[in-house]
Amino acid sequence: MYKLLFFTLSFFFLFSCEKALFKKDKASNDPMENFEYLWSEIDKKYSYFELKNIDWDSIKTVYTQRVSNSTNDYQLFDILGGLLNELKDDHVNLVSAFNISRYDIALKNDANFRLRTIEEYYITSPQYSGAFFHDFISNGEVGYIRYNSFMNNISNGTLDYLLTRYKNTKGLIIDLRENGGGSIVNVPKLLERFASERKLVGYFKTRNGENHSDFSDKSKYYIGSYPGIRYEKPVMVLIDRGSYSATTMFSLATKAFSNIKLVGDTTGGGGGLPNGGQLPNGWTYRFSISQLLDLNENNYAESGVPADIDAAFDWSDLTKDEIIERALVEIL
Amino acid sequence: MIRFIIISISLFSFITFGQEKDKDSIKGIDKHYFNTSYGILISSYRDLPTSPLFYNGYGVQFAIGSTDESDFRVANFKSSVNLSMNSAKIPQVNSLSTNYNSVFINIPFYYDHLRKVNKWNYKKYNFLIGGAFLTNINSRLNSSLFNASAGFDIESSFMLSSKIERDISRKKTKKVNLWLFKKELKPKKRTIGLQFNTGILNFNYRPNYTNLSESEIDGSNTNWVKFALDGYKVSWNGWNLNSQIDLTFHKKNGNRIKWAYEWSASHVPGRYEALDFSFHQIHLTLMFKR
Repeated sequence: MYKLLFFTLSFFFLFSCEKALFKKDKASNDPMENFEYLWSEIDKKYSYFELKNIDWDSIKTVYTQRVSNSTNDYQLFDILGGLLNELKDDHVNLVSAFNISRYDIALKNDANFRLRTIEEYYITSPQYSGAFFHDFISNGEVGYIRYNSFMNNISNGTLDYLLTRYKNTKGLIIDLRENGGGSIVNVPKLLERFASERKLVGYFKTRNGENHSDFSDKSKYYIGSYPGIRYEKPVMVLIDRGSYSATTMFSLATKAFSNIKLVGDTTGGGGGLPNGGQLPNGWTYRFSISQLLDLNENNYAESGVPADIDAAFDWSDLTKDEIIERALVEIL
Repeated sequence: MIRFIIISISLFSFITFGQEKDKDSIKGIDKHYFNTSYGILISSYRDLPTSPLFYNGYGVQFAIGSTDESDFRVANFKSSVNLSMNSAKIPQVNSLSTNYNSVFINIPFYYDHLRKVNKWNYKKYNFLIGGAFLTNINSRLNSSLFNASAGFDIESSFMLSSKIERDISRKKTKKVNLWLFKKELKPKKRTIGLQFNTGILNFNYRPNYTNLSESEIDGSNTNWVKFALDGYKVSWNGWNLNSQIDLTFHKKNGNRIKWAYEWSASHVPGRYEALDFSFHQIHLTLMFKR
């Protein structure tokens, strides 16, 4: 009897199966299930419905009509991509093996950056130091530093080298045009080199409930003052609509600095931190779940941080970069 | 919190009391072992805040631990690292598709204390009953999930534990004659055991509503651990089950070799969306007498 009991229990435990215990596997190819899942995740967590005045329920009604059981994967991708683009946010993407959806704010606005003009007429023998492309301009009176992506990590050694090299200049130009963002860790690393003291530069808040207006308490955003080599003369930061995400964060933080001015066009936006996820059919997505506010708690970062000095590239004369020229006027 | 304190005190009082009593009654016959384990495993997890899909995969286990044993009780401690490469179980599609892979790291800390129930013992069977405590530290890395590519959480359980052991020793020398193969099998001490643990009090430390959040940033002085864990909540929910069948060979020098098949499954709801995970493991444990 005991033997029987022992082996019966052994058999049961050996083949214990968690699938009977966990909730149903949600993997699915059904177009409507995938549509509902994506719509619902965004409804529960996206951070800019109210600010952008988006009627997410009405959009659902419109897009639901486009989905049916016969919708194939390529059609479904276009429908879901269209749904996401209603959010008008470059932190929103749908990614499949065959395509990536994007809103592309920069392409909906005028371009204000041409690298070749800089390489041919301003920085003819540049130095490449870590993440930066740089040299003296305007007869050595100004230092020009190009940082094309916050994805490229910044080292303190590189910054020490740059700021030592340009310490006798009258001012610096930091070119962040077409810098689409990257790691927010690099924002304070660069900015604290221009700060004489620690300062509050803005606030964050994160979606924390099912209502579109549910947000956490504000978290403070400080920039410290680097204890080593700093540069406290005038700094012109060049921005345009291609300056996005971490670059928008950097630009918004400069509003608290009296020695830094933004020159060019409004940034592309991207004030929210994007979170990632996956659909029942395997495709992945991301969208913003937080908001970035300025010192006065104004909420404009998502639509872009405006320049302090407006300037635009004149595409009829490719030998001159009007935005650099305007920055030089400000420094000299 | 009050529930946690009461149950913690009760459980550990039981264990401590049990040990004191044993020390008096079985003085001098306790056995102590240092254990190392090596195993292979099949893992499966689903982290609902970031994906509705199960990620299944294969991996390895390494563990160290200890066993303290007398005729009346047994106590085990085990600290493991379970590492597996997992792939999303996606439905078959007619379009171009890709694999979504992740690394799942599970670090469990396990302690149990079982007492033999003599009045239930029968012939070669021993029955043991007691408590166990398990903490799982889980991490998953999945680059396709953008800013949510790294996941982290902790779940713990106070468990009721029961075990049946049977002595299957070979008492006499046995001759095996299989045509060309002849062998004399000498007497050997062996035991087989079946253990089942069920969580009675489960708590966990899981991400916030949106899975990611932004806490205070203080320039380069930002505490990135604090930043990453901002919004994490402790919740008292979920379930945790674990069963194991093992075969132990007792060596003449007092050391032991144990083969075991272990199954475990956890449902960790947290405050918002759940993490489910399970393991099927086969491991070899070398037990060195101290």
